[in-house]
Amino acid sequence: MYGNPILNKSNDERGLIPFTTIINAINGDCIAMDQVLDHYDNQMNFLSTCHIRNEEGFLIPIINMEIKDRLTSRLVQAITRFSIERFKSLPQSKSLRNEADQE
Amino acid sequence: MIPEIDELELRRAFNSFCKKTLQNEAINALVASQRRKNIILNFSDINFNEELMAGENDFTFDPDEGYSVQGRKISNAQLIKAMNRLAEPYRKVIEYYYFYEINDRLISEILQISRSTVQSRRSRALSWLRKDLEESSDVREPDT
Repeated sequence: MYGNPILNKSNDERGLIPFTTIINAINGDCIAMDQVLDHYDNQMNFLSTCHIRNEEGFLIPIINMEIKDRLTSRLVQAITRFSIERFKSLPQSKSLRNEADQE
Repeated sequence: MIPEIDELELRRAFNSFCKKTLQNEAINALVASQRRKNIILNFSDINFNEELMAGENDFTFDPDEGYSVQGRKISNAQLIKAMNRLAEPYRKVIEYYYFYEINDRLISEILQISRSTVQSRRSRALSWLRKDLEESSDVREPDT
């Protein structure tokens, strides 16, 4: 934490998928979809863990594969449904807002 | 192909969208599992009396068990012997009528004979059975 340079929050790209893979995944490219699923694999593992108590009283984390399969199928559905059209109006509105701020 | 889009904005929006869908789906899965848990009952949670009510015990066949008819005692083994002595068409008619409780008309359709022959075979078989059992059964004194 101390060694890191000060982050520029407006240009922070950590944990983000490249732009071209997002567009390919939305259009239905299987390789890009695999990349996206790999990117969110850790998140899915975290969400699908359930703790089982041992005979000796210890908690053991176990990945529930039923929930993980459910999550992956849901993610694929959601990616194909993600719409870019609402971003077409975004730069215009942003510029309008900036102009209003300047005035 | 695509008009001017702020790329970084889209990437961030996509990231948050994916994370939110995953979290919502995880919550859905948890709610579904809890609902299933409420419906399902384990055998360990049931009382012994409730467990007895849920199941049914099969009683074993006892050949020595008997019943009294007109002052005579007839056991199951004697009845089986008498039934086995009958010819096959007569025995089948009696099985269908008294053990499976099927109508005369249905029996005639199953065995492909007319209805009157079913009736005559039944009465004849009954008379033979009566004769057989009268010879083999023990006369018991009526209880006072």
